[in-house]
Amino acid sequence: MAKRVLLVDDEKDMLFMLRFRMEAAGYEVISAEDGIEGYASALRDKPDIILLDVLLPGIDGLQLCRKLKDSEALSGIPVLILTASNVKDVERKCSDAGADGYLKKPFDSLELLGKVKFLLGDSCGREESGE
Amino acid sequence: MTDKLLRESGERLNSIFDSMQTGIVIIDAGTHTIVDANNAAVRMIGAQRREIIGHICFKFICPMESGGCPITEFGEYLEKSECMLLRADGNRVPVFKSASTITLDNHKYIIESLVDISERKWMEELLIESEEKYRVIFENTGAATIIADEDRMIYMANREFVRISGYAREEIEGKKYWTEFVHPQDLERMQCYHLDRRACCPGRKTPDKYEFRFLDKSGAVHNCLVTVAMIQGTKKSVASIVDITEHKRTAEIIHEKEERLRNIIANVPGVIFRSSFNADRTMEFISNAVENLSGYKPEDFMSGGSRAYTGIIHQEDRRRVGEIIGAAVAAKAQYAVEYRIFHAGGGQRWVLEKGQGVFSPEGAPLFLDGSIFDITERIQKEEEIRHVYRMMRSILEKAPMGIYTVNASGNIDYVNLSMLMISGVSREEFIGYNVYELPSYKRIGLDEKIKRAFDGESFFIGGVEYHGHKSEKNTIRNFTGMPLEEGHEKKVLVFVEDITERSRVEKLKDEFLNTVSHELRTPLAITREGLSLIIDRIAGDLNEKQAHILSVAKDNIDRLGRIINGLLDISKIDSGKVELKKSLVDMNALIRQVAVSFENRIRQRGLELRLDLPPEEISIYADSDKVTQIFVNLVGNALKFTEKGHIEISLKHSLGEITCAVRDSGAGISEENIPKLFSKFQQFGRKAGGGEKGTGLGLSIVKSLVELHKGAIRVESRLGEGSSFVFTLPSFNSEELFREYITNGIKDARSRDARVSLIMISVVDFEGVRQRIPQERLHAALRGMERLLEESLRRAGDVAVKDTCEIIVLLSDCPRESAVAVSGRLKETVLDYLRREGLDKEIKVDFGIATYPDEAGNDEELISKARNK
Repeated sequence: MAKRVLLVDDEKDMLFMLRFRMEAAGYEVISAEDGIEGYASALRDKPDIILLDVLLPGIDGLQLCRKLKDSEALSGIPVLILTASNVKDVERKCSDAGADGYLKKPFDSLELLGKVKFLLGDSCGREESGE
Repeated sequence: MTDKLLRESGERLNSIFDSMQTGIVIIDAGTHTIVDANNAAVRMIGAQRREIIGHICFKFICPMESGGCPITEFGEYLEKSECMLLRADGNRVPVFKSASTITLDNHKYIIESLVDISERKWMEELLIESEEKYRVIFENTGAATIIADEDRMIYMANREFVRISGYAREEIEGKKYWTEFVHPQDLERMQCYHLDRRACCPGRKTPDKYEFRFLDKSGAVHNCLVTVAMIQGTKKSVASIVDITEHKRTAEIIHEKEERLRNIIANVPGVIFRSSFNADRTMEFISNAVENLSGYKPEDFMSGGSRAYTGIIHQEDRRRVGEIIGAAVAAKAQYAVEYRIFHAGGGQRWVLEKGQGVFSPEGAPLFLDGSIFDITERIQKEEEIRHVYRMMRSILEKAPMGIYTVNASGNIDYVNLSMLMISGVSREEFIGYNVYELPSYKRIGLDEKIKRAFDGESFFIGGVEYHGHKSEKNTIRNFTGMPLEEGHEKKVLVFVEDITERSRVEKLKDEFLNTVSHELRTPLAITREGLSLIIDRIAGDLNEKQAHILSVAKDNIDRLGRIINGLLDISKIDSGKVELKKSLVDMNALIRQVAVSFENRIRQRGLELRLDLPPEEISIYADSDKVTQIFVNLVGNALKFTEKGHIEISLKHSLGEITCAVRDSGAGISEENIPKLFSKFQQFGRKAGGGEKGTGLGLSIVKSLVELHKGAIRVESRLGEGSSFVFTLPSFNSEELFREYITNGIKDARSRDARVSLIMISVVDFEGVRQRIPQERLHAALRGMERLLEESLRRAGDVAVKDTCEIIVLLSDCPRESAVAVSGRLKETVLDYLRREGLDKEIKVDFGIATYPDEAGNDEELISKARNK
């Protein structure tokens, strides 16, 4: 059965490209354009992996990540953070928020696919640090 | 009638006989008996008449023995000779005796006449005595004295004269004229005097003392002073001669000295004076220098002169001068007073008068002695200095940063206006703050820094959040401090910049950059992904041409991405925002990793990759990501510019630093381009495009990163001969490393008012362990432990630093209880590991904990506390 990927990003075009890429790689893609919808979708649609952008309207990506990890039902889902942010210590912040990995935009699509595969294939493993 | 006449004549003769003062004695020449004696003779003999008459003259009135009468025996005729009269009482009386014989009635008689000369004799004796006395005086007087006649003959000369003349007495007295002893040039004058003194007319005033030159026997000249007195009633003079050569010489010396003194006074840089102690200050003496000073001559101020000295003193100063001098005189002390005088030629001068009173034996002030100096120039200079001081003070006060000074006891003793504006506190309040007591200073460690500044350590604390007390709002400040030597007093100078506004702007800029970066990267990511999808044929097939075009486009999208990254990096570095995350970096391993990542690309270009690394492990305390970035940039550059040959990465290690180099055999860099090499956006043309397209920022970033590590980078290159980029990075010794790491941790905690806990993991008896276990095994074990600890610590902020026998773990925002829990966990992990490696028997570890600020105030205390547990 195809794995389900939840994309959360407020950039429609980004969602468009990612969907293309993911579906071509054989994944089922669902998406949300803000944090709250993202959370709701996670609850409702039970994805196998969540790809999260940091800068989101409403609740920001890191907070959402924290929420997901704190929720009993959802903590098992691996979260990969994609960020174009230049914030200091973004690596640490992602790690603090409980993310399982992160990738900086613009990213290399092969790298992205690799990471997704890894996270899906080894659902109890923990990545040390992004990149 | 003849009887009467006879009788009368006889009576007359008798009365004459008896009244005569001369004693007459008539003596029978035959019997030598006294026949008659007059009253005078009787008186002289001193016996009664009847005793005398009929007495024999021998042994009576005449001391001669009988038979020795000079008259009768020897027929001598005595005329006025001095004899002795024997008186009846046996005394002898000096008499003038005349004796003659007469014949009367055929009888011979001796008639003796006697004149008492005893008084005369006595007087003669007195005279002789007196003469003797005078002679002695004359003879012995210290002055050479002579008695001279009218004819200039030296009639008498005393011992001293004889001595100075050089002649013998016999040669002088009665033989020489005084003129013989006078220098020919003085002779005429002396002769005049000689005659004048003897002249009867008293009109001309002739001196009684004159100088002349005395010539002695040898012809030597003596300067002499002669005092001449006339002997009254005679034409004789007494001349006393004193040799005044010595005296003249002394007078010359005194004159010389006086001259010298005069010259000194003339040359002394000041006016020397003695003035009366009166209102006018009449000058008894004032040196010539006063002319220079005041334009007036000395005489002008002296008695009878044209003005009073006090008259030239400036009216405003007169009273003060008078008071100061008066007080000093009353206290019998010296005075010094500065005042203005009016110069004769117009204008004023400033003078300094120093002096003291001269008092009479009773203590009354008679004069003032002192000197006056022209200090106009000095006063002018002082005024200039004061002016400059005032200006500088003004500049200091208004300088666009807060400035204050702290004295040795920590009190603020000077503060400028700008500082008061920054702090919003009044001057009275600010002065008197003690920097060691202000809580707001203690909170940011400024008190410590200032204390250390007294020992010579200048400091800079930038961008601190400063919470003042009272109504001071929170600000962001820069503090710069340095020691200041003010005379022999040590002070610390502190500069304060309020950068609240600047920080706000910085923060805005940061936010902007963050937003911008996100805004730039998002479309970039989207576009790239879009191109990728097409190139990867996910959206359908592509022909060659299309594929190529899109490939080029994608490359440039990547390049755009790199430029954005570069810009953001640079901007971060430039604004000092980049903080190095330092840890112990194994350089060999890092370089190998870089090499591996470039392997394929290098091989594709047909180049050789060489590594020149030392056999031993070299670790430095640095930010491994940034160091990697440095190498990646340099190797990437080498790749771009080398068509054939090799790229070599080398590592060398020397005292306190490591030297890394990336060398290539590529195109090289021309001399004129070398200076611009590390500037931003410099790109140098290259023929064949190997590797990625440049951004022009790479080397600039590399330089900044090297320098951020406090290293240095340089390039050696020649056109056509390849290039070498060589950079150094400091390596730390572990204690320093420890310290810096912990200090940073504490600083971080302090700035956030948080806690930080230190866990010290140490190997017990490390030396012993080192001897028992082979080096590689021990190293591996320690490294293993470190890795394990890093993995166990989930949060990236808590990094372990390794020393040879100690590992420290710094936990930020961690109170003691949590630290204890973590420590427990780590202990288990480590013991577990050691057991697995079979080293649990050999290696024993100790765990110590300490928390800042609860248990320790600074890095030293924290370490020692953690070590001792």
